[in-house]
Amino acid sequence: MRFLTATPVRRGAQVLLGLLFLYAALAKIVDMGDLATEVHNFRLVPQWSENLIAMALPWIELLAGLALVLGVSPRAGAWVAGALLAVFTLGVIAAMARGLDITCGCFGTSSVMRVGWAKLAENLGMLVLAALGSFRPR
Amino acid sequence: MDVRDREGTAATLRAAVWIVIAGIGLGLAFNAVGLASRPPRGLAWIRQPERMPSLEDLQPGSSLLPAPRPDLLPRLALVGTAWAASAPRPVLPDTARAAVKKPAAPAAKPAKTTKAPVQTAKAKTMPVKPAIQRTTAAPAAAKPETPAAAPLPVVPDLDQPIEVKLAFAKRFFDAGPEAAVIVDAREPVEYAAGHIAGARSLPYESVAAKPELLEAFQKLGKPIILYCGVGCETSHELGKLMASERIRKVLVFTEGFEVWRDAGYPVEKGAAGAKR
Repeated sequence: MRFLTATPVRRGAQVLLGLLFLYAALAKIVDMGDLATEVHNFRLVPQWSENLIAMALPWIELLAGLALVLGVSPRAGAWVAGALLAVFTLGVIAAMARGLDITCGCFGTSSVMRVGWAKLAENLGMLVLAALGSFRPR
Repeated sequence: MDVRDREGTAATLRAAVWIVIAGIGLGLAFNAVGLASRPPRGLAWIRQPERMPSLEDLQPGSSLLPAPRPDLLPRLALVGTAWAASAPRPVLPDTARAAVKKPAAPAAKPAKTTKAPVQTAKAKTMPVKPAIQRTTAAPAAAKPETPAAAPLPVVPDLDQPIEVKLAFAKRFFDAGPEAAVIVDAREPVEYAAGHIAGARSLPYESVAAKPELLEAFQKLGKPIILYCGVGCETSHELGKLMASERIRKVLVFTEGFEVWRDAGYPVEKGAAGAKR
C-alpha cells in the first residue's frame, strides 16, 4: 500500500492521466458539434442542455489535465478527473444496459470506439489512475 | 513540481470547484467568441431537437402536409404513388359508365354526372359497396402482408435524410433490389451476426474515415434505406454524410434492425458480400 502512495507513482499517475485528459479535451474542443451529438446519443440529459455540456466539458477536462500535468493543485485535478470519469463510466454502463449502439466520443472524433466492455475497462483503468493521483503526499 | 500538492482537503475541494467553474466559463466564452466571429462557428446555446422529415408525412395527400411542394416532389409522376391508391377512383358500374358517356353533356359537366350515378349505384347495388371499401382500406392500412397491392411511396429529392418507418421500408424491400438499396450502417461484426436480407454493409465509421466509399451511391438514382440498431444514430449520421455528398433519396429506417427482425421479416447472417 505504501508503494501506491509513493511520490513517483502518484506523480506518474497524475501526469499520465493529465496527458490523456489534455488529448481528450483538445480533440473535443476542435469538434464541439460532434461532441454534442455524442452527448445526445447517450440520452442521459435533457436535450436543451446537451450543447451547454458539449461547450463546457472539454474545457473542464483541459483545466483538470493542465493541473495534473503541471502539478498545480494536481490533487484537485485528479478529483475533477475522477468525478468526470465516474460520470462517464456510469453513462457507459447505462448505455450498455439499454443496448444503445453508439460511439463514445470520449476522445473526440479521433476515436470511434463504441460503448462496450472495452470502453468500460478503459474508463476503469483511468479511474485507477485518478485514485492514485488523488493520494495525499506523505 | 508539487506546487500546492500538500494542501488540505478543503483547499483541494475549493481548487476542484474552481477548475469546474473556470472550465464552464472558458467553454461558454469560447463558444460566444465563435458565434460572434464571421463566419459564425460554435454551437447554439440551446440544442433544438433534430427531426428528420418523415416519408410518411411527405406523401402527397397526407393530412400533415397542407400541400405537396412541387420542388420537393419533382418526380411525382415517375414514382409509384401511395396517395393515388389511398383515394382510388371508384369502380363505376355499367350504368354509371353509360351516364358518363352521354354525348349531350357539356364539357364541364362529366365530373358532376360521374358522382351522382356512383352514389346511386352504391345505394342500389350492394355488391359494389364492399368492393370499394376493400380497395380503399388496403393501402390505408399499409399491410406488409400484401406487398403486391401496396404501391411504392413517393420519395422526394430532399437534401437531407428522410425518416421511414417499418411499413414503408417493407414495401421497398418487397419491391426488390430495383426499387431501393438497403444499407446496414453498423459494424461488420454486427452485420455478420444478422442483417436485413440483401442489405449491403457500409459501416458509418468506415465512411467517416474514407468518404470515397460513397462514390458508388452517388449515381444510383434510387432510394437508399439506411438502418442500424436500437437507439443508434449511426444510420442518421451516415444519411447526413450521404446528403452532404449530394446523394439524394436517402431514407433512414430509424426503428432499426431489431424491429425488422422482431416483425418476422427476412434477415440473413454472414459477413459482407451479399449485394442487393
